[in-house]
Amino acid sequence: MISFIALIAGIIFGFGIIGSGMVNPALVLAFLDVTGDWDATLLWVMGGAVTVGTIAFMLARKRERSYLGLPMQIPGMAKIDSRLLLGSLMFGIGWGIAGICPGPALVLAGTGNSDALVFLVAMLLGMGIYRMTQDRG
Amino acid sequence: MLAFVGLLVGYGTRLGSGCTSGHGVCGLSRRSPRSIAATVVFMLTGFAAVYLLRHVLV
Repeated sequence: MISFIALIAGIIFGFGIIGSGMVNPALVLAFLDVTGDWDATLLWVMGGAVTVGTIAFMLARKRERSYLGLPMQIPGMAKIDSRLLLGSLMFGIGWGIAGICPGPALVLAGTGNSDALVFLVAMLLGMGIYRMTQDRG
Repeated sequence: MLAFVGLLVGYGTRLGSGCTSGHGVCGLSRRSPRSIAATVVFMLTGFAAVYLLRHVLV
């Protein structure tokens, strides 16, 4: 049942980022091009997603267990450390160059796009390198 | 180039504990201070990367 719900959630998320244009690197780069021919479309997408997310998290916070009976796990860490900032900095640079972030990388690779496949393999390798060198867990 | 950028995104996502969806959507929805900081940082560096590539290094 849990896997089934996860599958449904993944499908909804996938359709969401496809339909909104979030998987289109050209649209992402146009959104980041604030000093040029700026396309604000994705700002609305972010706004819409955050609105839905705010309602969802408000409902989730009231519960001790999820609808599937699992303990609610909402991240509670508050400390802004150098790892967070450095990681976000690296992520932002990469996102600004390629116009692809991790979710869309999976979707695009799923379409068989060869650039996206290269990106996805490299991204997974990057995560693997992190795991080998940094992971304290 | 694309492979290098993929590495950067993969490593950065893990080090920063999140991406556009994790910090940008879920984190902002929770009003998480960490996610607000992360989102500001990756938006600014994203703007900077596009600015350099499209308007400076052309």
